[in-house]
Amino acid sequence: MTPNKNNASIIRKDLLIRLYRELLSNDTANVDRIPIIIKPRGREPWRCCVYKDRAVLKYKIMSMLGYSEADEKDELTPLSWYAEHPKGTNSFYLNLIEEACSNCPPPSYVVTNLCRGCEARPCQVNCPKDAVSFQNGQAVINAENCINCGKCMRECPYNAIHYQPRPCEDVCPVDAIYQNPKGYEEIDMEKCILCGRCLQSCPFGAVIPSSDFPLLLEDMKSETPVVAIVAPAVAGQFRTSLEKIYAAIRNVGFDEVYEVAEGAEKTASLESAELLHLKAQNEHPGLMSSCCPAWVNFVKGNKQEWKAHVSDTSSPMVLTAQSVKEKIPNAKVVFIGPCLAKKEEAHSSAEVDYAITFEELGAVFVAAGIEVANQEADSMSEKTPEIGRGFSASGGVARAIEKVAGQKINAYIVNGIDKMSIRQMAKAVKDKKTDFFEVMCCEEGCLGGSQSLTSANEAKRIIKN
Amino acid sequence: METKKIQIVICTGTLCHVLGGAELPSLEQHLPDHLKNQVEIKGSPCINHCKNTDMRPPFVEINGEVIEQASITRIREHLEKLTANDSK
Repeated sequence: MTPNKNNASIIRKDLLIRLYRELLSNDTANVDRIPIIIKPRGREPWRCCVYKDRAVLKYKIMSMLGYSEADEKDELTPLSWYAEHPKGTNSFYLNLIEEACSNCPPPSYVVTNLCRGCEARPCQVNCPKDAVSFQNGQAVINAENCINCGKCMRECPYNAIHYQPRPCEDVCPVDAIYQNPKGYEEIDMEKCILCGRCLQSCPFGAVIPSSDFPLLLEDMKSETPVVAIVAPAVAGQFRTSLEKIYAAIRNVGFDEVYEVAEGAEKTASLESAELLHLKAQNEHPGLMSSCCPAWVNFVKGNKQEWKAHVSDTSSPMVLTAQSVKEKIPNAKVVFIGPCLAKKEEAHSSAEVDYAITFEELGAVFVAAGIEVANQEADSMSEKTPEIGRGFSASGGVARAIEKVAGQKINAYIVNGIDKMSIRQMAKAVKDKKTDFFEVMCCEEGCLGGSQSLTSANEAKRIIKN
Repeated sequence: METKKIQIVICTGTLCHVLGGAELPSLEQHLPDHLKNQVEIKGSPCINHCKNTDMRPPFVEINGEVIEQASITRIREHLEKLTANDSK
C-alpha cells in the first residue's frame, strides 16, 4: 500500500507537525488553535461543516496525545490541557475515533442506475442464491439471500453492479475491526495485530495512533541520556545518505544514534544456530522468524498452534537496545521505525523505552526546522552491518540466516500477511519440507511498513541510488 | 530548430517530502518519452513556498510557475498543456 497519496494521511502528518511545533516551542496554548487554523470559517468542509471538521481534528490530536473520546470527561477541556499531560502509548496504540467514523453501510453489491434491464439478465441467471429480481425494469439484489460472491458484478455487461466495501474491514487480515451496535467501527484489541492497514485504508482517517514523542520530549529536556536506535528501513525514507539522516536525528535532541542493523546481525546468528540445531533432527516443522512484531501478534492471537515453531531469538530492536543499555545503563532507548506493532513490542520489553515511527520522525524534523539533506554528515561505526541492513526487505532475513549458517537452507517467504498467504503457508507447514519461514506482515517487508514516509517502490529506488 | 527545454524545479525539502512529495524526485521515470526530452528537471531543498501559509505542499515550479499539491499526474497534465501550446 502506498502512503502519501491521499489527504487523510497528509492531514495526519500535518497535525503531527503542528502539534510537535507547539510542543517544541513550549507554547501549548497554541495547540487549541490548530483545528481553527486548518479549518477557518468559510473554508470548504470535508464533512458537513467546518465545525464538525474541527471537532474531528481535535479528537485526532487528542488521540496522538493518548486520549480517546471516552477520556474526555468535560468537553470544555481545551486541547492544550491534553498537550500538557500527554499519555502516549500508555493508554492505547491505536484509537478509532467515533466522531470521524462514517458508519459505512455493510459490504454489499449494489445495482446502480446504469442497469438497462436487459433481456440476457446474466446477473439473475448466474446468481447461485436467487438473490436478483427485477423491479421497474432494473435489477434489485435481495440482501437477505445475497452471499456477496460478486458473480452478478462480474457478469454484467454494462458494469452496472458495484461492490460497496467497508474499507477498514476489507483490509483487516484478522477480522479485528467490526461495526458495533451503535453503528461505529470498533477494534478488538485482543485480535488486532497492529498491522496498520485500517489506518491506511480508512477514507475518513478515523484510525489514529498515539505518539510517544511528547513523553520523549520531556526526557530530552532532562539530564537523562536519550539514545535512538534506528531500523534499517530508514535508508529508503529520505533521499540522502544514512550519515546525514543520523545527523538529523541527533539534531532533534538524541545523544547517540545506533543502527538496529547491528542487532539484526546478532538475531541472524542466534536464529541460524537455532535452525542448525533443529535441522539436526530428522523431521522438523521448520523455524519461523520472530523479528516482525505484527507477525508475532498474529500467532499469539490467531494461530496458537504455531507458537512453538516461532524462534525464541529476540528481535533486532531488543538486541540492539540491550547492547545500548549495557553501555549506558541509565539511557532512555527509543526505537525509530516504520512500524505500529513495534510500539507494543517496545512497551512490553524492558530494554526499549519508546518506539516512534518514521511518520513521527518526519514530522519532528519539519517541526524543528531540520533540513535532512543540509546536515553535516555524522560519522558512523566503522563496521558496516551489511547483512543486518538487509532485514528491512522481504527475503532479507532468510538471506542473512543462510549466509551466517554457511549452507543452503530451504526458506519459505511470506511477503505480506493476508488470509490467502496464511492459508498457503499452513500447507507448507504441513508438508514439513521447509527449514525456515520468514514472515513479514507488510508487503515488501519493513520497506512497505505502514508508518513509512515513502512507498516501498520509492524506498527501493532511493536505496539503489 | 532548437526549442528551449521546460524548466522543472522539484522541492526536495523535508516538509514537501513528508507532506506527500516523496515520489516527485522520480518524476522523470514516470514521464512518457515525448515529454522526457522536453524537460530539464532539477531538485532543490526548500524553494520557500511553504512559508506562505495559504499554499499547500508539496511544491514544484514549472517554468517559474508554482504548482501546489503537486503530484506526478498533476505535473504531467501541466506539461502536456504546455507542450500542446508550443506545437500550435
